[in-house]
Amino acid sequence: MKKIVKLAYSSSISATLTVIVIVVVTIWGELSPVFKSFLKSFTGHHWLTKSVLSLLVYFAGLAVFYLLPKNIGPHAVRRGLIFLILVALAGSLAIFLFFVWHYL
Amino acid sequence: MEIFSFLTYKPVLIGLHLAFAIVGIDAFLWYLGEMASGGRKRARLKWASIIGIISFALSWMAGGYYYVVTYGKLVKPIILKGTAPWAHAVAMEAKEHIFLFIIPLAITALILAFINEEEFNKNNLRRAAMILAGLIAALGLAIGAMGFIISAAARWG
Repeated sequence: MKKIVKLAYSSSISATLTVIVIVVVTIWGELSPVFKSFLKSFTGHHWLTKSVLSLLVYFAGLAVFYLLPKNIGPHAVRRGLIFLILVALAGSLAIFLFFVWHYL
Repeated sequence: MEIFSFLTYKPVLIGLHLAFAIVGIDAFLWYLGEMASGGRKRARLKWASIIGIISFALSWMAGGYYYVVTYGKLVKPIILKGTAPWAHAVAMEAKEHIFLFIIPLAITALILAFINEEEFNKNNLRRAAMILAGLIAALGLAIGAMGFIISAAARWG
């Protein structure tokens, strides 16, 4: 298995994890003013903290999943990409619908 | 005029945010077009995704600076007092958070461009890579549409 294929697999899993973390942190922050203040305390703005967090989670996840001694099967990268696409779509919809619900 | 004060002048910031986002969207439409053409010129895919990532990152910085420094103090109160407060409560809130998905998705597309033809075909990645590039462009366009709604709500109440 080529290293670049494992890197692509690691990136798809790490990007999926990043989307999930951002969705959870965003919704949790809106439902809990205490948690939103906690996020704000790091950078002065909750969104800046989430921005930094998204990069940290993605790059840390990329390194961890790449370095894990796991053999990648012939369909794993494709499945990882499809999972990422579905999670990114679901995450976008979840955030949009949450804010619609929150507004109403 | 000092370069920093020019770049942080509000209309310039918004212009840069929008312009870089458009270049990022176009870059991933180019990536999609390269894949859809049936061939797979890796050099072009690498350039398309590198241009896309850099553009989205610059759009993120310009838009983020404007959002943190100016929007909350000057624009948000106008929208919330206007006839379409949902433009902030829904469109802006969704836009600023969905945008955070873009860079990890785009870097994944870049890594796919480095896989050679043999491995790419063996792993049957063409369709997934095309959908990924299309999703990046589609999210960029949806975020752009939300940006238009926010600007319109601020301008016309």
